[in-house]
Amino acid sequence: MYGRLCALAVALVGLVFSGTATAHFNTGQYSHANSGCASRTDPITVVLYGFATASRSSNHIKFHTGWGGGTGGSQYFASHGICAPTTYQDQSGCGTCSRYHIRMRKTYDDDAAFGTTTTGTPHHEDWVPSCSFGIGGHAVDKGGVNLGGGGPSGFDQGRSRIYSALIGEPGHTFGGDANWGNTQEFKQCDGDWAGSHGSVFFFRMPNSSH
Amino acid sequence: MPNRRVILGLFAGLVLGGAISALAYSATGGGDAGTLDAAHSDLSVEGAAVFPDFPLYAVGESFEGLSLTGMTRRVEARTAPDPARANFVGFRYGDCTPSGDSGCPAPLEIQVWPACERNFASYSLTPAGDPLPHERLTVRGVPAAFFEEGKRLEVYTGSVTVVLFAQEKAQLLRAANELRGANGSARTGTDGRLPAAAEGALEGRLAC
Repeated sequence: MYGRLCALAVALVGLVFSGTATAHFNTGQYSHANSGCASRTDPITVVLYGFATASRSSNHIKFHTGWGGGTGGSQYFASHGICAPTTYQDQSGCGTCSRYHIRMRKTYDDDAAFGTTTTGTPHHEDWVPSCSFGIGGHAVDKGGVNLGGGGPSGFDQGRSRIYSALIGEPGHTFGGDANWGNTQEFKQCDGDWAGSHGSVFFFRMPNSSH
Repeated sequence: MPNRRVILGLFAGLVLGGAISALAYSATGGGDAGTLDAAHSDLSVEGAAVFPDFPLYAVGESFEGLSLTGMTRRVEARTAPDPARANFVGFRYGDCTPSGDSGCPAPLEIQVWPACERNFASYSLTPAGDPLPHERLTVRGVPAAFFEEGKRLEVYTGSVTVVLFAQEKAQLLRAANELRGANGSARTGTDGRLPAAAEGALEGRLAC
């Protein structure tokens, strides 16, 4: 009897620890407008890892870009089967300004190799007074046509801006890029369409804040 | 008391705003027959027909009640350190209504990329090379794969990668079965099969 109980206890402990050991990086590839995470709106283009809680990620992004806390509407992020709202936003300009803007959320679970991970959807957007029936709204820049004639899309600009802010900064190792192919385009309030070219940059966050 | 009125007013505004927002986004899911939005298209149907850079595939001027509402041509210069760039022609079917600062996708979008720049070997979940979750299959005689939990289907044919986005796997498969040439260099066999993927295209060995 005692032997059976011990075996059961060992099996239970094994189950608990195998759950932890198999935790892995998992995320949707877009943010969503609504809480069911079935209403794509922005592509994810950066992953912050290491000690990247959303709070610490926001702290470092603000410090290295000079941006302030964000005022955009909330969106939702999916990871490990959980759909949850944005926890931090940072932006380079006011709520009625053309600006850089990022929404972030920590993934539900950590990863054995990448540690705590936060995903983000940085982008450059213009303030368009005619949007939302004249109330005004933000529209992400459309992508370029004919070899750079229009420049990169607002989503590609956002990824580049985070790169230029963090590269070379102590504690922020550039982990490289991964191509997710999340290039679906999204209609903006000015009628233009914007999307990412599909690559995602990984940046390490240190175990300290500014 | 005035404070209570203000709070009640704000609450009512939030509820009403949320309802309008939900209504606006619901138009996305339902789709919209729509018409070609020339002001927000980079190509016309006639322009696509003579597009010279690579073969184009789409599903004609409408699909399951969704009209062709727009065409995109994105081709950007490469910028270090980014190895990727946008280089595709896109066909959008149906329409949607953005809500506030949140954009929305067309019910069906088809992007055609040169296989030398985008192919099955292009992807990974992490820089360490972990595989991007996918499900391989064969469509009209050529290799294909679902990504994004069945909301993206890629069909590898000839020298191009045809990327389809929609809400459901079944609709993506139906659209893939309706793919036809949209310019002079695109081919389909009389038996409905698509041209075999170019040598090395799937493995990322096709030169541009």
